[in-house]
Amino acid sequence: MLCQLCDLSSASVTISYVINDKKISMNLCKECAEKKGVDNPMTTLPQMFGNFITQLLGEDSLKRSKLDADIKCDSCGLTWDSFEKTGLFGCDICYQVFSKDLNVILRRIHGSNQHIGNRPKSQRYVIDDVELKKIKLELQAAVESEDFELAAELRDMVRDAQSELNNKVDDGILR
Amino acid sequence: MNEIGSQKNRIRPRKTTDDVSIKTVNSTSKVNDLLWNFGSWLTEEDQFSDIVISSRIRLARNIKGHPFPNQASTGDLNQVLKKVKYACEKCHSFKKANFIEIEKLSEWDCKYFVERRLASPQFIERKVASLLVVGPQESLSIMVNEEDHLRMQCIEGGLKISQAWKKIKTVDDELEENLNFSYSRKFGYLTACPTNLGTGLRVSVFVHLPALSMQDKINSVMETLPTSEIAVRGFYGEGTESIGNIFQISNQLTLGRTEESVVERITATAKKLIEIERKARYELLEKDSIKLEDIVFRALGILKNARIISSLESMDLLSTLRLGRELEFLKDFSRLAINQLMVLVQPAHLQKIYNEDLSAQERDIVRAEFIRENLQI
Ligand SMILES: [Zn+2]
Ligand SMILES: [Zn+2]
Repeated sequence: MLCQLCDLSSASVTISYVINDKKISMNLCKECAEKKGVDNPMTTLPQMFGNFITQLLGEDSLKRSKLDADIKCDSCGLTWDSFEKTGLFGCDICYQVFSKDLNVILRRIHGSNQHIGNRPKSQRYVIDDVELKKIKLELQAAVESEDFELAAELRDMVRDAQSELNNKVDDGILR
Repeated sequence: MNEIGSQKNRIRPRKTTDDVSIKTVNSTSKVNDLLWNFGSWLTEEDQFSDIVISSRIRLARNIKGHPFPNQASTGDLNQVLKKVKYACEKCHSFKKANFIEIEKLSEWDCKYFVERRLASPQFIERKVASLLVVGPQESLSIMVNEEDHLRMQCIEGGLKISQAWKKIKTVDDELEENLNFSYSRKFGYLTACPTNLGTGLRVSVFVHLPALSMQDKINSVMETLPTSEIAVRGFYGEGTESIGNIFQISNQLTLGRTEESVVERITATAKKLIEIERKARYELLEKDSIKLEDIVFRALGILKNARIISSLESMDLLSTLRLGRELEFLKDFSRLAINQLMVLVQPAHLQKIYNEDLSAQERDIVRAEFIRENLQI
């Protein structure tokens, strides 16, 4: 069997990933295994190899790539074709340009297409001007009554609200 | 056997020159300084260290307004590097950090950082504008311009996932004071590869499962895990036996999950594996103690006497030694020392220790010598 990475030498190392109940195996030659660091169990296995995405999408991806091969991100120059090969987008704008196919991909990979995790600090509280004034008054009261825990939290909200307002000026379309 | 770091004299081979000046700031001397100062994941243990070698958390982040590294020009990469370096210098967690430019390192020094788990193989391949930031005790580190602009990581010894998460979350917040991360309300943190999209979080635990391997139960045990969420990676050699019986358990999904739920899930999975492996060890001991003892002492016999040994073979035998230590056949061995030895016998580490360019065959010979010296009780 030939090495699945270089297609040149014969494979001597097998790495197995168990992903979504499926065992995906990769057969690599000694040199490639060494290059990728997979011959050493004390190091971390690489996240993925090229065309891993294609493996995940299976048939669907082939149909898709024929339709969309020409779509290109004007910002970084990446084509759908090259995304399929490497599994990598080129910039944040790619996430808009390829959004049509992205929903399918994300649901296939994650079973979801909506982020619910951490937000950058600057986006943690979304507070309008009226609310902000109210919070500032509450903060003053909290400081006066020496409720420092509440005061700290309110201060965070004020800070976050203010940086949120500042950010809106140069906000990306993505938000 | 004492801990390796505490007895430099014996394990530092004769050939090493001892003139490493602290004042020199070139990268190679920095590497030499790091060599004997093992990171916290190799010097700290907890109640789960009989099975868990280490816990690792990684966060992927990109900086708004710059293409991801795969599409970026050298100019872009250098700008990113500058911004991240500035942010790190302002960051409390990296006050005493080492900033290592990959471009200036020799091939072996690059590989050394991979073996040390501070760099990925892909990272050292790129080289241009690649910066490695290593915090105190190698616990916190950042690869700048890997697949994403930032790959922050935290490694701890034993099962310390939630502690590691708290540490890296602090770094994330601190860096954000000076960096504008690519983020969207819908997709979360934007990453080059959609498999990291959302939280950009990868939680991994490295577990040592020799008893389950001996009972040929690895596959059936892994099947009972919720595999749609969790990836198990084994390291296999030519046969079906896994190398060193070390497995990496990590989360598969980064979108539509909160960080806390992922941390909890991997912790729970690790605890389940710990329980099953401990039971398997007990069963083996009950059933056929003498056979087990035989396997352990044969491994010790080879390690103590071999004149030529490959890194794969030594990993396998050290794995058996580790089991023998946990089952108390080998009472004089320290668990941490065995873990450290597993790292030190890797090619780039031997290259650094012996301080000369060795061929693969020569390396197998000095590896055997190095192991023999370190296993004398
Ligand atoms: Zn190959
Ligand atoms: Zn793009």
